Amino acid sequence: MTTNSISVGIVTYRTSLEYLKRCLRSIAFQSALDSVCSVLIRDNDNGFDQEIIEQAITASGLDKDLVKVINGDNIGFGAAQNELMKLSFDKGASAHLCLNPDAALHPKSIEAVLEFAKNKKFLGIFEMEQFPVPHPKVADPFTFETPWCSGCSLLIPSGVYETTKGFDESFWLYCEDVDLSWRVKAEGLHCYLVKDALVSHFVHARSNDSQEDQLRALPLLLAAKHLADKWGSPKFSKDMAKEYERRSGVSIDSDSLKGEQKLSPSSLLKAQPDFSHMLVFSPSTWIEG
Amino acid sequence: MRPNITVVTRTQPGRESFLDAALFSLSSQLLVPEEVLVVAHVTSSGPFVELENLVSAYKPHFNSIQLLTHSFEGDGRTVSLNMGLDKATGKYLSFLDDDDVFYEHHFSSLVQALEKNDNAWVYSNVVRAGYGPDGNSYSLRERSQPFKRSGYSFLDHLYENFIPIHSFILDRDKCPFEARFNENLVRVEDYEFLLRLASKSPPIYLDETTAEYRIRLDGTNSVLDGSSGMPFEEFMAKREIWVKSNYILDQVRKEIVGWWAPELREVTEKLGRVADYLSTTDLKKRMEEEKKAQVMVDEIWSSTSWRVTAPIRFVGSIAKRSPIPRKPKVHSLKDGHEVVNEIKSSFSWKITAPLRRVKDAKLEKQR
Repeated sequence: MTTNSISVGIVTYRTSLEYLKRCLRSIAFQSALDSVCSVLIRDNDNGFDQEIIEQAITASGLDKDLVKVINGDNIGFGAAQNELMKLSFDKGASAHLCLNPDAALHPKSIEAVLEFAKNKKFLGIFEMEQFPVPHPKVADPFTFETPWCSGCSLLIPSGVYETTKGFDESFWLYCEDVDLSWRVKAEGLHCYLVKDALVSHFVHARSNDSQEDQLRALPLLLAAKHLADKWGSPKFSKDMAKEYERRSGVSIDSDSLKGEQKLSPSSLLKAQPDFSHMLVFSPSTWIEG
Repeated sequence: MRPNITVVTRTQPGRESFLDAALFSLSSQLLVPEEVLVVAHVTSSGPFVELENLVSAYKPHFNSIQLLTHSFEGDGRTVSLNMGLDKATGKYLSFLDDDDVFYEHHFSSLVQALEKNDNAWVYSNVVRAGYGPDGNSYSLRERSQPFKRSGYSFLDHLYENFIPIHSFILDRDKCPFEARFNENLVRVEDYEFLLRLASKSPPIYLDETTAEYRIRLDGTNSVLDGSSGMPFEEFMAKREIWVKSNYILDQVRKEIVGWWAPELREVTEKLGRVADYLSTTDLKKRMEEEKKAQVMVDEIWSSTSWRVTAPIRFVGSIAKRSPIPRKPKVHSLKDGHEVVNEIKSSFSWKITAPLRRVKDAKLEKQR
């Protein structure tokens, strides 16, 4: 195994065939496919999607020996990715790429992210640039450091996993990536946005009457409240609870995690948790007109 | 087998980074087009290694992707489109310029709409994405939807280009004429084509956002946006091209509608303004305001002060040979206030001030 051998981890839950096929095909067509030591798929629906997953693997043209499917209960995104990371790092992978099943890689993305990470000595986590609509959070135009990394397509080196123990499994879905990023920074490591590594991931509403945003909003608000409780921002937590109640008509209990993330002032200074920019958790680089 | 979807993409050597994004947006479609024709307008005989390598890199993603070149002298953008059309074998035709992109559901949504209906063409909403220089590349600064309308209207379309070239798909078998672009045009060639098409065949409007029109805010696109920092000569040359193109467009409008197309434009624009007025103003609220304003004018007009001085104004008007003042009709509070202020600052109102003071004193005493 080379020093740059990476595993790709995909967590599925009732993912459609068209998305999964597209995702796997984009791995199969990578210019740096020889750097990929395994593609691990965790079906969080305990094998319910088995047929779709098998069809997608066959249609993608990926070498079947490269792919491993693990079935299990729906333990959430972060816990499932942790399971895949443990598996791949135990087998000697040097880094793990968390990849959303509804995302597709640009043919040179893995090559680009590996080259970038190598230049940074793998001292941090490395997010690919979302395409065609980039995430609005800022990134330094010279160092490419960013306040946090999205988990949609995120390279986590084995060393960073050892230090942080991966995602906090108390997050079910959403905001586990923001939490991991802040913990990475608290350890004196960095969050990077790799602009040359594109990943197609479209999360915007297709039309005004779209239900997609509504469906996404509630778990996102819950996760954001959990994040605020963990990192000690009562005002943000209250705002999220209020918004959740407004949208769903259901009030949520106070979180048991209040201020659980105990950090020294110097680590907090490094982490720089940002609750002043709503759910972007960073100043925005572009505006919606 | 005849491919279903053919995409014609115009480019030029040196624009590989833009083209890469356009091709990536094609390869990551949920319904991937079968045939991609990249047409490059070149100025030398080549080789065009970077361009060829890029197109080759995308070969595994499509059934067929070809690089076509031509070296037309002058602006060859329309020639590129027709060259692509000549080679296209697909039933559905789509166009994507190298600096624009599709969203992942573009083909799946639009082709589905065409297959469910009998129309020859379909279009959807397009986001305008403004990119600003950021070091060696460009970064997104703003997203907006200036092309979005509530529905399709041929009259609106006749005078307003709100359907960008990559927002529509044409079913070639149902196109009422041979699909070709007018090579006399080097701007709005797509608009002219669509006007001819729409005059014979109505589109399906799909209210979904499926594509992005990328504009560089430093003025390096062909539209006039961002031209503020441009050298004057360059700006004027660009403007000249647009003026000529608009002249040709006007001729096409006359061919479609008749010699009275300019008059129709005026009427359409007036109707548009009325519609805007009615839609943006609460009619009931305006009627109430109008009533209130008239009451205000009626009260001051029938006041003792104004009535007792009426003979003076009558004589004054006769002497000046000006029309005898009549009570005005007002339509807004603003107009009402203007009339009241005019009366209160008039000579006849001022000379009756003692009368009003006596009246006020009387009222005070009664209280």
